[in-house]
Amino acid sequence: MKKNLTKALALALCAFTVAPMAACGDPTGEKIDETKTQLTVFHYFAGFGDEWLVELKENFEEKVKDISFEPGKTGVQVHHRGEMRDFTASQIKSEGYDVLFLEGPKEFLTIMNEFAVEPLDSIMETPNAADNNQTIVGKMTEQQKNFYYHNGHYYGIPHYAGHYGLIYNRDLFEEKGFFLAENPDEATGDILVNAANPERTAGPDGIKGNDDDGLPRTYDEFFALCEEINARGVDPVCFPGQYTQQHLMLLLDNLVAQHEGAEQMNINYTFEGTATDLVKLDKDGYAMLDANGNPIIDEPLEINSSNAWQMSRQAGKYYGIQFMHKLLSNNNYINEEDGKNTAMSHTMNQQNFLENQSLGKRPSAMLADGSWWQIEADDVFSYMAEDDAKYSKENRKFGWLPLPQATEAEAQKLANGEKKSVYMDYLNAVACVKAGLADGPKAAALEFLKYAYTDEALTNFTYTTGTTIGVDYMDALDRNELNYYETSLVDYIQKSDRVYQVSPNEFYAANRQKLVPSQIYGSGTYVSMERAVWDDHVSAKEYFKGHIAFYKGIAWN
Amino acid sequence: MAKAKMKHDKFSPLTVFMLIILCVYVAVLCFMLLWAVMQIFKHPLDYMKNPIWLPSTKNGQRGWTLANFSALISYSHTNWMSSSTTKTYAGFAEIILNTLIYSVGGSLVNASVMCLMAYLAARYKYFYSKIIYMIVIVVMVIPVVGSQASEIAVLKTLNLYDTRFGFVILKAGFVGMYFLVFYETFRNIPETYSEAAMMDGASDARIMLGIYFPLVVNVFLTITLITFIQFWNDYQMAMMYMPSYPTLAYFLFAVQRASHKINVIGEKYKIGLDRPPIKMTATVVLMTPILIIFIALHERLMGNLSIGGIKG
Amino acid sequence: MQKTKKVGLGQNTWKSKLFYTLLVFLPSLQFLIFYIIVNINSFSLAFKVWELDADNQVNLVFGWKNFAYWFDDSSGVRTQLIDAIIISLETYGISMITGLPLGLFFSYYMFKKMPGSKLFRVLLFMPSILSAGVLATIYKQLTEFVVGGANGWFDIYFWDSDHRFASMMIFNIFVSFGTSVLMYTNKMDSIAPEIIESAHLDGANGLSEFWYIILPQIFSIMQVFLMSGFAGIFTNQHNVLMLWGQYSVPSEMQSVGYLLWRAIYRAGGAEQTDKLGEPTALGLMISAVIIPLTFLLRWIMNKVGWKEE
Repeated sequence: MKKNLTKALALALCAFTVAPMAACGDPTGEKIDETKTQLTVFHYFAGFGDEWLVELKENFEEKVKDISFEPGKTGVQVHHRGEMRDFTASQIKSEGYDVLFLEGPKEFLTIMNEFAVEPLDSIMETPNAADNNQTIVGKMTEQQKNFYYHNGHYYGIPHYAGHYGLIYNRDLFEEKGFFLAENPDEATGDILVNAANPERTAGPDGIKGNDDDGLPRTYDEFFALCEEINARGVDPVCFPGQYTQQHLMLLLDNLVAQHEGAEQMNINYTFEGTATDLVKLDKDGYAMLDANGNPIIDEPLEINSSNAWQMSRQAGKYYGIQFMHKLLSNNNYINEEDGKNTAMSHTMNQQNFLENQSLGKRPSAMLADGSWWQIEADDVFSYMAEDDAKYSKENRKFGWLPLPQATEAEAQKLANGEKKSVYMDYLNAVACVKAGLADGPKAAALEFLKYAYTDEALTNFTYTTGTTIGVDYMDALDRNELNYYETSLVDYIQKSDRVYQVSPNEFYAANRQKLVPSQIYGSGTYVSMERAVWDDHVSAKEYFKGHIAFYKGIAWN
Repeated sequence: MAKAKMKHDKFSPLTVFMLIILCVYVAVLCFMLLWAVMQIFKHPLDYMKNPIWLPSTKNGQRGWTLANFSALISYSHTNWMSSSTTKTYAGFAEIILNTLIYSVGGSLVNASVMCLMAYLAARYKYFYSKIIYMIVIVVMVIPVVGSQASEIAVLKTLNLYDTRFGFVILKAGFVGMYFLVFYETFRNIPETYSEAAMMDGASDARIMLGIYFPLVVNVFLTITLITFIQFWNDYQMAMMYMPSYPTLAYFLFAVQRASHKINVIGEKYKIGLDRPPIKMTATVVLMTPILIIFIALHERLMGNLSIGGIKG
Repeated sequence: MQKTKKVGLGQNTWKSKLFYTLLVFLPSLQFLIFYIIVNINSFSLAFKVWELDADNQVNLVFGWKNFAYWFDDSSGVRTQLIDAIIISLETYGISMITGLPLGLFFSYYMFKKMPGSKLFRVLLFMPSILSAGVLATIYKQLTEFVVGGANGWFDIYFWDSDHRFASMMIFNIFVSFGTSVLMYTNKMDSIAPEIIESAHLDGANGLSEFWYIILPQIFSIMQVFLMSGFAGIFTNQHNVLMLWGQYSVPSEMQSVGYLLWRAIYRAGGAEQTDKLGEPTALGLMISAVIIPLTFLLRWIMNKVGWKEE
């Protein structure tokens, strides 16, 4: 009896382990077509997925199908492989990738210094007839050109772009009237619009009649709005507990940039220029405040590699820390369930953001996430749309929130056009070609990148992923192809200064790992604000002081 | 044994307290396992609607599905492995194969080597036998820490790093508690068994294989089984010593951290891997064989071993 | 069980000797390579340092740099190590204070054949044969989504910084009973019933029976667990890898075992053999501390503990 049982169990065990073996075949990948030039492409495989690359590959293969890049072969066959990893110069040299799309390579300066990648001048500076005679260099910012122009050549082109910010649920805002009223109801004290008082404020851009009407312009307006949102049964902001540091500290970075503007923000990477927005400190190291409670600005300071730690005194950092502190220390402002659950991944948080309202649960009004969040939430959009088409990505409305300004004065400047908003790109993604390829593959690889940066390919990327690449092609985008969120993002980028977090500064390059925004906003023993606020109730004042010491502690020259 | 004589003692406060704690313990453990099993046929995206119970179709849930299994198999065919190897993935079939080689092969080799060395040390009165015994005792008593790094370096020198073969060799050591178990067992077998055979002129090999080894089959199987379970569950060894040949436990570890989108049979869209039903399916796949073995053989596993020897 | 002394086979015939030699050869070679040479190599690895000279050439030199690495605080390593030592000691202490008595009481309960003993014995053993990874994964998900959290059964965040250490310890104690309870009960079962009966006649109640009769009898087994636990103080990782993943273990959860593991794991990758020296040096230092301490502990326990008659 017992023996039989054992036998049966043994059989069951075998079936269990063998069955899956039968169920799956080995994916051999694409067969190599010997008649074509072979190109192997690496791409950083994360939120952006790989559909864009499949499309790029197919379109490119079609374009060059009759062109011969090496004797005896016609056309190109592109293979691609994605992984979430970084490359060093020696890895690029030793591994068999011809074209690489890297995200935030920590050693790109070394990669260029060691000639691991091919100069791209020929495709970047020559006008491309197939692209309205534009050049790739023409689509780049000065800062990007400065970085990738090295020893007399261009070695890389910016790729995936994005940063963390706030995404607001426009449908929910419309439904519940989460917009600030031009004339708040003095009798009831209601600051939001309602049926009787529908006129919205002009919003951050100061112009009435467009989509940012009624959105908060300043930190004060933002938190006043949050109070109202919470009072109406909605959590103002949600973020995932598993990645709080990533989501919140990069949001903070973005807030800092909005206050500082592109020029001052760039000094954080170049360590060159005059810092005009540093906070004066008292003898104990705390920020000195004026009668209104705003920090007093110090004399301008010339920044170089040896005193770059002084950048931690930037007023934008002071204000940003105040903002995050206020957000985190009041549970009325956040969705606690998602934010404090350490197993809550970003995609599950996105699912709650998209789904809660339809399930009768308490929804969230804003999501702190990357600008590419929509493609990560693709499955939830499809899943919900199966039930009702109104939930599809095309039919729902979300918006990239213009982040509020710290003070009324700054908000005025923005509205007057004296100051521009900033689109931060912390990914620092880059496209490059491995050095030393044989003539045929090299020509094909260059042609591939040249095509990848035509307006046609760039816009396709945006149509597929709903996100952008870090060069300028926003005018070429057909807004009809974009949904509400994508339009709001692209419009925002178009009117903003772009900051790409790289620098030719040797010290910055060598310490890149420590100087990334998810690391530099630490203070004392905290690398991230939520721990300081939630666990140890550290005040914003203390945190700012600790932040300066923390930043100074990074091994400066 | 006189166990039967001992009646239930009257309940003392201590035992009542223990009973309560034990009941809670069992309830928690059973709930944990039951909960995991309840997730495996649930659509990954249904989890946020229904994080506890069995799949259902309430509230627009998708009901019972094999999506999680499909997702795991798809995932095994994407580039999921660490970048420290040139290989980027190992499909599910290969993972199972690696696991079997490691757990079955490793445990058999390990038990065989221990059994063999214990036999030689116990039955041959050579000086070297004493050395073997001493080595085992000394090595077990001295807790050397951190030699893995050196192990990796030596494996690399021998070209055995990141190979299945090298890994089995690493596991083919004779030092360990089970050596002592075998040793005691062999020592306790009366001499008379072999004397008769020696009279008949049987060779050493015959005596070992024909007389002694059959007597310790039970012990051998028990030890193999225990080592098998240990190796089956071990994710760190594969991660450190043969990253290109991942085992199921290593795969489970990778699944827990994975988050990108994956094709799932029967769905028109890709699904994110970080959903708990997918993770739970991986854990259930890993633990089911062990659970079955445990249910069938817990008497053998729990009854036979005590420190210093095997009970009769 | 009786011991048969003077066992021996086929003495001194050349055939026996050949047979013996052939069989011990490979396992001995294995031992030679993977214990002797590995440990000698450990020493040399720990002292090997690769340095860049003025011409950017990598040179191998010998020195204390790998050891010094762990005491250099410019990169925060020393603080990390000191914290890790405290964490390792703390966790050992906690599991000894809570896990050990619980295990003993559980065993006593089963030894007394109280209701459900058989079932409890099997179920207490089960976690130790299921992969710790499996249970850790289930435990984490359950505590976050079902038992705890804003919408869970209890309004506790198990994994926020106030609770995560306790959550981790509870889990580790939860899965720790298997082998120890099994060994204790096996040993208790071997106590002659006459001893207990005579104690009862002398009027011993449950607790004094446990203290005066059971404990001395199983002390030798306890010793084994205390010793192995002690020897493992600085290698135990408390399942943090499964609970948090390779690189996201919170700092107050990083034991010496974890630091060591991480250093080796990072250095293990194909190109970084030169980094193996740092974890090796740490391992040597730990061994240098723990080996004499283990012997000291053994000596103390032999002095002060119960003696089995």
